Amino acid sequence: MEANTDTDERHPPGRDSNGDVVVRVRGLGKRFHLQSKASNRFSKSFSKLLGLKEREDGAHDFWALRGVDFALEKGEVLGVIGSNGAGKSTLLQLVAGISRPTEGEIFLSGRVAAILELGSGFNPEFTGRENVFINGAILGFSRRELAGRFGEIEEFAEIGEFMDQPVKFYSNGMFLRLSFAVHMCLEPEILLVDEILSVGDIFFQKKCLGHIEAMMADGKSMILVSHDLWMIRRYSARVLVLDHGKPVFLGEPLLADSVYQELNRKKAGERSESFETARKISHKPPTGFPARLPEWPHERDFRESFPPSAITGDKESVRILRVALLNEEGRPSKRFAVGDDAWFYYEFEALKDLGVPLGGVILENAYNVIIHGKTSLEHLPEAAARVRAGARVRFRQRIQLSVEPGKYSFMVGFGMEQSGDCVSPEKLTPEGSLLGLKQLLRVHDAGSFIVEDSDPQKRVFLGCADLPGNCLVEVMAPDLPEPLEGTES
Amino acid sequence: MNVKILAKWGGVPMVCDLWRYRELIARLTWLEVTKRYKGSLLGLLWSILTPLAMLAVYTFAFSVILQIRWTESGMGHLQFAMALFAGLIAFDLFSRAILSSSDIITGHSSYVKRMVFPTQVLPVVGVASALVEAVFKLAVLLVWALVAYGGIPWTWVFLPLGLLPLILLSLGLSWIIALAGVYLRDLGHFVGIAVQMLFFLTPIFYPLSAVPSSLRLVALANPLASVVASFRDMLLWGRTPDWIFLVLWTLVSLVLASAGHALFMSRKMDLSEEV
Repeated sequence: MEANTDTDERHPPGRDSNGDVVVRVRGLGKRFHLQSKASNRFSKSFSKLLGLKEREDGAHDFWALRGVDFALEKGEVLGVIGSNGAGKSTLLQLVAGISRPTEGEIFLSGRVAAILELGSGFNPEFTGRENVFINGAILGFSRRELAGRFGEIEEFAEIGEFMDQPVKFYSNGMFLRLSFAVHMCLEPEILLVDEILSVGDIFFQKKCLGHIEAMMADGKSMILVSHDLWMIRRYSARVLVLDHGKPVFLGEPLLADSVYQELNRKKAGERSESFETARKISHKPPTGFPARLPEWPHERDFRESFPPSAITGDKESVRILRVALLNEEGRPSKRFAVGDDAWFYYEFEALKDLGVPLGGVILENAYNVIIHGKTSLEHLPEAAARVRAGARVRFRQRIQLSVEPGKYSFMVGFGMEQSGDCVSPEKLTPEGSLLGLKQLLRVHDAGSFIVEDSDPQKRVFLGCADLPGNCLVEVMAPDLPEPLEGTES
Repeated sequence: MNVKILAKWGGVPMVCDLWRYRELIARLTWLEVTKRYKGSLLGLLWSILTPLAMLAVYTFAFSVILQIRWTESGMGHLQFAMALFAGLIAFDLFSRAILSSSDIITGHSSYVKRMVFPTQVLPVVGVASALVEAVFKLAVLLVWALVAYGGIPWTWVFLPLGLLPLILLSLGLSWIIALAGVYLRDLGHFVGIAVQMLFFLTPIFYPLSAVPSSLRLVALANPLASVVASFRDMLLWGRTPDWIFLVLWTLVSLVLASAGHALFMSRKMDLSEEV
């Protein structure tokens, strides 16, 4: 149904995706008129008041959001990421019904509550208690229902006697606590949360997250805007990436992550140096990457049969041919030492004419926690071009296994850049070309391996993965003790 | 079809909307009324004390010192103060609601911009809190009349009917002014002047009968004039209100209120951009 939606393991394709849709957004767009000179403000105010169509003077128009499509199902969390000004908050305002879309439509089924900004929804002059009752009344609760829940809200918020103080005396943390307490305990069917959880302390955050999980299990839905990619990854089955008001990607969180980071990298490049040089740098193979392509392994080293149940996605467009996992010496291996390089080789066959191909590997540990995932988008291919039906695409991916010892499984995925006109790496780089990124196929449990401690003494990190970084030490010698008074006499 | 149109202009959507948010309106109104006296020692008691003091001052100044007689009544000059006060109750209800509405949206920007909030409730709260004040004043007048004359005319029972067009009129205008005030920030000043002018054009200091008969119809075109007149009839002179005018103005106010509500609802989603 939706062009950009990818299949996810949490939403098996067999499920009827139409029955439980609580938010459906089609072709959503919002245009703002930038304030022009003061001289014609008066006539403008009048025509605005009367709702007249203004002359289309595109110069002062700006689309905060355009062309957004998605459907949110019952119990689903949609993550939204994007840098400042990408249109995230505008999207939430539109869905919340606070602002009118310029184009497109929004379908909602269920009570919506929004935690948009810190302290929003509270009248600063009124006490916490009064604000709780106002918010409850807005959500349609009667006084009696609210009185019944008040204890729960008070307990969740943990702000003690501040409940009876005007909220203008609240700290940021207290605002957040009360906001969340109200909206969590009043159980909206659809909750919109804009980037505010980061204000609270970790314990309150954990509490909120626990509640969010309970809400999801309860069939409540949520749209979560955050810069915290970890949180987005943890709770969202799908992530929408916005850039300058345009939807750049909608799908798998890990892939969304890399799209977002790629966008940021480009922006950083644009800022510091000329675009050209930045592009060249990003094209340089990562350090440790051999200058020449490693040789494609021998046929016998590959696994070629995969159970159909392990393959999800668009099986009509692309087919997995083979997957191999080799060690640094180029031999197939299932055992690695901490810090070893692992080489993943995988090959797909295009069954249809496709866009610019994209491959990726995701590593999971024994607790189904994704430890790492990266696509070829991180290392832009030298010869990115559209592929025709029948073409085979080979990927060689090196991952340094700086992870804690244990059992790991990996998946391989195939996607494409579908906007069509990107036929050379030069054209792949401008931001717009990321628009049609789409995951096509995913092979679950493509293989497994074990990482061992070759020498536990040598392991230099704790936890599930080693991160780059360093630590400097400086020793300050102790001051010499002063002679004790009175020793001279 | 006709029934539908009738229902729409007869205020059915408006009444449904008000009913739906009755709890919210009640709570916000209560907070608005008590906010005025927050921190004061006597608190809500001021709502009684202020009108009581006013009535006493009017009686002293107009009835005792100036000894002005209200020409309509054949009774003593003590009634001038009460006639004046009755007129003021009606006018204040209207003017308070109207004056607060021009910046009621811009003054509650957090409700408009950052919250899923039924903004159409805000002008209603303005009218409702003005109504609460009016009820306090009416209570004072009632007690005053009981003490001063040992009784009140039975026509008091019609009071709610007299209040209805006034409330509807205030509601309709409040919605329109609240909406327009967002776009035209100068509106507040204009409304201030208009209300002042209306104060003297409305028979508050003088009876309607003092208006030259050639201008009587023009005076009656001022909706407040007939409302004020019917207030006095019911509260003081023991006369039943002029039913034709009352029904007429109720219907006109009802249409105005429904129109104001419909207009506000059609534009409320645009407000978040303008505030």
